This record gives sequence, structure tokens and C-alpha cells, in this order.
Amino acid sequence: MKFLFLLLILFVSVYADVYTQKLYETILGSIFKERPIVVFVTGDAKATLENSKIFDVVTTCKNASVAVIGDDSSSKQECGNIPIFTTTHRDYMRILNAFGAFYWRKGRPQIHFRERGLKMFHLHLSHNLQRFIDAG
Amino acid sequence: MQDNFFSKKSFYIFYVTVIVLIVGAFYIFKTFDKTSSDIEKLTLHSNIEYINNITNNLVELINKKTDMQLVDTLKKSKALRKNLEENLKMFRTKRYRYIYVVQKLPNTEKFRFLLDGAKKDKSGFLEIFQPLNIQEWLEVYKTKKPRYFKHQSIKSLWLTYLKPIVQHNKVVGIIAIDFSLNEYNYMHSTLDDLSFSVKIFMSLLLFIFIVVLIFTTIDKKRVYLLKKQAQEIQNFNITLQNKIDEEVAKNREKDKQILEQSRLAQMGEMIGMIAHQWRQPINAISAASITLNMKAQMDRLDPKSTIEIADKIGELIQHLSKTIDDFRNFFKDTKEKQDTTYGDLIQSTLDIVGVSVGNKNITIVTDIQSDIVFHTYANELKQVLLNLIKNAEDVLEEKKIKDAFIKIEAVENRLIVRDNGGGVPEDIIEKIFDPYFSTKTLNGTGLGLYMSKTIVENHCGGTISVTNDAEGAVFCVVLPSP
Repeated sequence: MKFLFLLLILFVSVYADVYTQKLYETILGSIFKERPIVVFVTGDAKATLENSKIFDVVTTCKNASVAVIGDDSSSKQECGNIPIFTTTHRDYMRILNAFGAFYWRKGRPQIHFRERGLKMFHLHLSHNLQRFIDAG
Repeated sequence: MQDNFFSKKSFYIFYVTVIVLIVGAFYIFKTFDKTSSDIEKLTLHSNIEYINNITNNLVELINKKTDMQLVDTLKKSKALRKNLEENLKMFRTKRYRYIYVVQKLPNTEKFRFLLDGAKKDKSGFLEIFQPLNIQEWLEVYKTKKPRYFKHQSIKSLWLTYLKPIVQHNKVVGIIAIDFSLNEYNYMHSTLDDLSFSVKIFMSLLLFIFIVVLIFTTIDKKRVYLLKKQAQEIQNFNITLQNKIDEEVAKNREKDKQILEQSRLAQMGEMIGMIAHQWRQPINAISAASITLNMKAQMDRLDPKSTIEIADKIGELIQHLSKTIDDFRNFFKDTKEKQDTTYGDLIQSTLDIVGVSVGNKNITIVTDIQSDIVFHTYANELKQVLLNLIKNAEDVLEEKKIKDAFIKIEAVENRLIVRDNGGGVPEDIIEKIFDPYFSTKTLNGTGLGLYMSKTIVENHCGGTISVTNDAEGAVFCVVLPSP
């Protein structure tokens, strides 16, 4: 029984990564049309995006189409001229130019988009993502 | 016959046991399912009740400390927020992982955090929150009543309990408690496993019982069929026995008829023998009569010679009478056993047949070395001996053997009749005791040796056999020693 329980945990852990990856692919894939999407990633999301086929993870912001930032303050200044998508609420609140965020809160996925960030980089959300735009 | 594994009574007891087990198994299944469901409900119910008590106290505390102005008061006092969050933290355990207060934002389906009792994954004040199962949350606002629902997060199964904070008859916020159902789930899966195991075990047990029942039923049918077949065989045997009895009776009747034929044949021969025996005395009587007649005509008949002639005639008549008696006794159908010896048998037989055989220039030699007294059917044995002598006589006469002889020996319990007629041809020696088998061209019925064998073997319990020696046939009768 314990073995089965461990197996279940292992399964859901793997499933969680796949689920998160799918979410990134859905969100960023609907905003950025080019394939692969050249992305600069910091934090936990790096491993997730590296496993995806639609992303080409690069090491600097210079050639990236989008930066996915999470808990790495050093990279935030360098990527000021490209759209930033954060993976923590704290970064989303601090980086005012960030056009969106995805993170987990109380075991629930939280998706946010900021009107100002979207307009700044002329990004358009698909209809099903527009309900996640924060008011004000 | 081997009986089946179960007796009839045991079979019915077993049958009833299986039915009881099936009913019992269904009862256990139902009871187990109900008990399992009850345990789950009770466990969940007790947890819900506990959470309800916690949230009641928290709502009372929040209402008291915010003076029924939840959002405004919290916005104003960071210390109060901290104090209330400490109160929320008090109830946080591994199971009650998240305890937090949220408020719905107007005109959206989003909420914002007001208080959060978490250590890790702590949300900020007024942070936007997008819950799952949004309808459940909205329903709490609508009904002002607590709700709970299960939801599967990525990592585990949770139950979220939502308690409305009502101030001035209006829902101003929700206390949410995320309650891990892992233990409940574990118990549920354990109960499921147990239930599954019980069902499998009971099913297996029932299956085994049913298989045994089927095999027992088949075996019972098999035994029934065996019994039926045995009965049929028994009936057949009875029928067969009746048929055998019928056939034996027919054979006996046939034997009787054959015996009768044989007897008639012997009667014919007997008449011939009587004629032989009587010819000489009758001639003597005739001669005496003629002598008497002539002496009377010549007037020379004196009383003395008359008496002599009359006495002689009387003796001859006595001889004729004795001859008749001998024949009558010989063929008398005596059904009782008598004490006799081979010597008596030989003498009686030669009295009958001796003259007839002697007239044909056949020498009869006797060699009696046995004085055993047999208790047997003497007359029938005499007929056997007579038959053997007559057969030898016929062969010797037919083959015109010079210096023909018939030798009759009696040694202990063996009676041997041999002749010098050349013997029985080897190709028919096995058949000569069969009924209606005869080598004689004239007057042969083929019954003599068959009847002899029947008399010796069936009536007297002995054996009769034939061999050939250098001169002729050797018939040997062996009677059981007394």
C-alpha cells in the first residue's frame, strides 16, 4: 500500500510538471506566434520550458522574444526591453513592466495579465485569456 | 459398486450450506459496503464538524475584533491583521494546511486575500486570488451558508471548507480552510482494498463451493447412471439365466430323447441277442417234442423216458425264462445307485452279450484285478460296457479280423475295453463322443458313445477316453474311487 502511495506521489509530481509546461505553452504560445519562441528563463521555470518543444531557451535576454523571470533579481534589469512574464507574485508586483504572471497559490494556479505591460509591447491576448487581465 | 463421494443426506446438507454461504456472502458484501460508507461518512462528518466549530469561533473573533467592519478595519490596522493571522495560524496543522480569509471583488469572479494563516506560500494583503470551483465560492455569498467541496489539486485530494463572515446581514468575506483528504483517502483506499479482498475471497470461496457442487452433481448423476446400468445388467443377467435354464432344460429334454432313441436302438439289438440266446434251447425243446411225438406214435413211450423228456423241456423253459429276466434286469431303468464291482458289471454284461459275440468267432478275454465296490448307477454302466463291447464286435466283424478278440480289464478304478480291430482313425478320434457321429455304414445311430460319455461323466462322475494301441482301440472308463 505504501508503495502504491509513493507511486501515486511520483506520478502526480511528474504530472504537475507536465501540467505547468502545458500552461506555459498555452499562455505564451497564444501571445507569441513565432516558433520556436526564443525565451530567456530564470528560476524554477527554466527546467520546465527546456523540456517543451515550442520554446528555445537562451542564456541572455539579447536575442530572446520574452523573458520568464522567477526569483532572480539580477536578470530583471537586463531584460527591460523585452516582454517579461513572471513566475512569482512578488516579481509580478515589483516589475511594473511585466505583462503577466503565472504562479501557484494555495495549490491553485494563478494567472495574471497587466494591461500596461501588454500595451507596452503590443501584445494581444486570446479571448479565453482576457478574463485574467487585472483591473486598474 | 463404489458409491459417490457424498451420501444423499450429506449432499443436501452441502447444497443448503452453499446457498446459506451465498446469501451470507451477499449479506457480508452489503454490510461491508454500508459499514465502509458509514465509516467514511462519519470520518468526514466529524472533520467537517470540527472545522465548523473552528470557523465559528474564528468568525466570532473576527467580528468582535473588527467591530463588524471587516475590510475597513483590516485596511487600517496592520497589527490587527497580524493578530488575527496569528489566531488563524493556531489552527494550522499538517492536515489543515491553509486557513485564510478572502473577499470577493465586485463585478468579477476574483477574490482578494484579507488574512492568511500560512507560513509558506503566504499571500499578501489584498492579493488577487483566483479560486477553482468558483461557483461554490459564489454560492456561499449567495446563500450565506457554509459549504464544502472536494477537489483534486495537482498533488493531492483536498476538501475546501468555506465559511461566510456575515456582518450586518451581508457576507463580507469567507474563511476558507483547505483540508487535506490524504488520510481520508488513504482510509478510503484501504477500505476499498479490504472490501475488494473480502469480495475476492468470498467469490473464490463461492466459486470453489459451486465447482464442488457441480462436480458432486455430475458425480451423483454418474453414480445414478452406473446404478441404472448395473440394474440393466442385472435384469439382463436374470433374462440370460432364464434363457440358459430354458436351453439347459431343452438340452436335457434332447438328451432324454437321444437316450430314448439309444434305448430303442439297444432294444433292437436286444431282440437279436434274445433270438441268439433262445435259438439253441428252442431247438432243444423242439427236438424233445419231436422225440416225444415219435415215441408215442411208435408206442414206445414209457413213463420214465417221458418224465426225463419233460424234465429236460422244463429245464430248457427255465433257461429261456432266466434269459428274459437277465435282459429285463439289464435294461431296467433303475434311478437309484447300487453297490457294484467291475467284476459284477463285466459278468452281467457278458451274460447278455457273450453268446452273441462268441457266435461270431470273437474271443472275449477278461482280466479282473479290481474288487473296489462302487456306489453308482450299475445298470447304466452295464449299458456303457455293453455298448463298448458291441462297438468292438461290429468293427471286428466288419473288418473280418482273424483271431479277433475283445479284452476287458478291471484295474483298480479303471475299466478298460480293448480290441484288435485296428483302432480309431486319428482324424476322427476327437469326434467319436459327439452325438450322431458314426463310422458304421449300417445300423449306426451315432448315439452309443455320446450316451456312454453322458452316463460316465454326468451321471457317475467319472471319465471316459479313447486311445489307440498297436492292435486296436482302447477305451478306458475311470470311476471316482469311493
